[in-house]
Amino acid sequence: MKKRVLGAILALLIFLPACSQGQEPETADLVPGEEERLVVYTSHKEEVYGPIIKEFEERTGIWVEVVTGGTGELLEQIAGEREAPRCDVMFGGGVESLQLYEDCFEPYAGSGADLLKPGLRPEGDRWTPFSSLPVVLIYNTRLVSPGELTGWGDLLEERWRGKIAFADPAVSGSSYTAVITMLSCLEGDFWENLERFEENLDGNILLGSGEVPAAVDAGSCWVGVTLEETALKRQGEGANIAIVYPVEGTSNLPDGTALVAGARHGDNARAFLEFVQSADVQALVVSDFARRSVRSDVADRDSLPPEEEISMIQYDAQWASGIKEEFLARWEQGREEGSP
Amino acid sequence: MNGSSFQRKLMGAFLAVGIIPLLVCVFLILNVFRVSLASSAAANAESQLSAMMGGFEELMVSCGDVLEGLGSRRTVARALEERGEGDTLIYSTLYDIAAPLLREADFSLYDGEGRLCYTTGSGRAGEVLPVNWGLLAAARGKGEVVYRAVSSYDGNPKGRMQLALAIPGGEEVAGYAVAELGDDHFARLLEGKYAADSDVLVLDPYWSQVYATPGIQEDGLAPRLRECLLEGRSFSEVETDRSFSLLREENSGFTVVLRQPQPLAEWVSQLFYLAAGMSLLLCLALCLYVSMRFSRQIVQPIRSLNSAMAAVEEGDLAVRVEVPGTDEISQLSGRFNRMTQRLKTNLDDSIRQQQELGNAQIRMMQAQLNPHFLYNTLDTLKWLGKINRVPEVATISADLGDILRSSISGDEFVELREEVELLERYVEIQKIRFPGKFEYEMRVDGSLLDALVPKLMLQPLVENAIIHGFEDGSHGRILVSVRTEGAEMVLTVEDDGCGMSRESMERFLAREEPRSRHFGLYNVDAILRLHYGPEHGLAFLPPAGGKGTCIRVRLPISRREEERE
Repeated sequence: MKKRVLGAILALLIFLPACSQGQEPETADLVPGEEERLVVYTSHKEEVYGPIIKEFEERTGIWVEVVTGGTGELLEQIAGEREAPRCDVMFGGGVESLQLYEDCFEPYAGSGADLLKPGLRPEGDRWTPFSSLPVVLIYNTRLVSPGELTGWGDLLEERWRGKIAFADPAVSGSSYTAVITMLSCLEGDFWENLERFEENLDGNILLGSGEVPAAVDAGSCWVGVTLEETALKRQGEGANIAIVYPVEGTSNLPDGTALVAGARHGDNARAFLEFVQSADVQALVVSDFARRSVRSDVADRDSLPPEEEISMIQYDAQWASGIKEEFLARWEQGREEGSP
Repeated sequence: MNGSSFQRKLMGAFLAVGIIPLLVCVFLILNVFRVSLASSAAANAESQLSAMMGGFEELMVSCGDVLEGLGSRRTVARALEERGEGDTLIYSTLYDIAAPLLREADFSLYDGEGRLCYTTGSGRAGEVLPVNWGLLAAARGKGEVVYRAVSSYDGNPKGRMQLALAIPGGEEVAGYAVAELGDDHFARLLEGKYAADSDVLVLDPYWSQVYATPGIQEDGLAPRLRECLLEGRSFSEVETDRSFSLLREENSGFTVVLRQPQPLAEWVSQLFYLAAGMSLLLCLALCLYVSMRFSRQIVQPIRSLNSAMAAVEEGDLAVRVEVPGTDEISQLSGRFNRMTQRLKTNLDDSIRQQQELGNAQIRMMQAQLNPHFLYNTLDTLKWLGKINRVPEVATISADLGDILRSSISGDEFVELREEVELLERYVEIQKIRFPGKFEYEMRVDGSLLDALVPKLMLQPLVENAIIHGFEDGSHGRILVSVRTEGAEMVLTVEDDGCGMSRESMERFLAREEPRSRHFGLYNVDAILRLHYGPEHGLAFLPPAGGKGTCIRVRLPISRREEERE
């Protein structure tokens, strides 16, 4: 009897709080099903991925979950999740970086693959190029007169010693691409040129690629090496910088979008790849992001010199990835020698 | 100690009785409180939401009507295609159609390239919306009214929500009719439809924020809600002190989210728990105090009673217990006191009796003093009698000495032979005292001479016959006979004297203690009864000659050997 009364009291105590819970709004019918979802990892800035993903949602009815982060970090995460991928699409990241994680991706050729500008379609379609990003030289319009800076060769000259804005290639992927492009374009011995360039930097090495146009604009450096997109954006904000396309030629290594192997929402991921390569998005890339399209049927800005006029070298991303270790070792060595 | 376990029991009972109902009450009240608050909050939220949703739906429908009205005008389509007709005519048409909603939304007309041509809002002619992207692309593709949120990336700070309808032209799309709802419009739409402590969030179909009331400062709320929705988590994880309820507008797919403070604010429930905790503590302390008081009140007297009893066990009867009141335990203490008092009195009495007994024994021993002196004296008398030739003196002295010796010897039982011998001595003395007064005859069965009889049993019977039977001066005879009858021996003392008076007989039969006379009979009777049982007392038989007394005694035959065995 005593036990039963005690039991009844306990039951009451447990039951009552339980019935006060569960005042949640009815969201069950609003939650999208698995077939209406897509998970995108992106290293793009919000101003880039935001409108694209919004429009993708509106056009397809697919809910996109966005995870942002640095390229290396996100690729590392994708590699870590290889057994049970959470990510469906890696949106952004230079193809050199994507190359390193080739195994995590599944080849896909969209309907626009044939319309890509020459040299941009990757072998085996492991990823889809998103925008073309030529490496350019910039100079401060107040400190340097037009025509003074023409190409890569100038960067080895004594007069720019210590005045070159250049980001550490050990840190910045785009800086590595730039220095490889430069060394590929220059005549003479590859490694010797690197030593000369490093000597000419005089230990003045910036920590991130974003600092390059800022340093040139501020006048602490006279000239710099950066991506066309970065320079144009800075120019648009009113910086005193001018762009020079090196006479020796340059590379236009694209960034890409890749389909993760074994993605849970594979069909939606393919729809997204198709979308980012579509003429509509490529037009937006040109009009809103100060970038060059990867499609031959989407015209770049009229203000930019057409790619045919810039001598574009064939940048071998696979080879560049292969020598990175040796390069960085030599880079560090040169740096130690360069700094007294 | 026993006291502590008693105390513990009492305390447990007090705690159970005091705390369990309190606990149950606290939980019941809190939960009833919570349930009722939650349900009223839910009802409240529902009514607010449905009011807002009603207004929103109505606005969507009437905006759609305005856009369709604009799209159906040939003049409008033509004006957008050709840009030739008078602007005032188009504007009057625009304002005419939009008249009922001029304060609720801005209406604009864009041409086929997305250039703004006419507007009721503040936009300038010539502003461009992309036609391959976003709103206008969707409107062209769908052919009916489309609803879009304006994302902040588009660089258009003005409109937050746009509705668009493509206006068909000759071959392609002539232009677009667009309605825009900005912050002001939303504020007007929702004004007074939500409670002061609530906030409203308007989300587009993919849960991007379109509008938030001023109470929602942070930008991150909509993304966090979206995350919860996608991961299937509860919205209460976003903000634990708020509750969310929502409704979806079916035309546009936009969702209105109402954020309310939790019906039972954190600090209120904390206060409640604090109060409950305090009262529990108070109750606990009270229970402890009261149980301690009670148990002390009960245990203390029991303890003192217990130690008093231990003292009594040790023999101290003077111990007394304090009687503090009139309750059961005090009654018990009183009884204990009376009991020890009684015990003490009894003990005192028995000690006194013991002392008295001791005194009597001492006196008796004193009385037995020096029988040798008496023997010697009697012996001397005997010799004096012989020397002086008074043989009676010698005989009496010798007989008396024998009787005396025998009477003070320690044996209680003697052989019949000795008893008979003693009796003869006695009779000899009496014959000298009362010469010629009686004749004496004894008949003894010779086989019984060694049977045991109580000492000095026959002498008092004969004395009785001599002294009382012949007290009137007559003389007669006394016959003592001892014979065997079955397993018993029968002793008879018979005389032919005056017999016992009726009065004496009655008194004797009633076993009354005699006052002065007949001591002897009484004593013999008592001794026989004591030794052999009540049926072996003196029996009075009718005398043979019709006069005198006949006393008979029946005894079982026992001998020394038997006795020894």
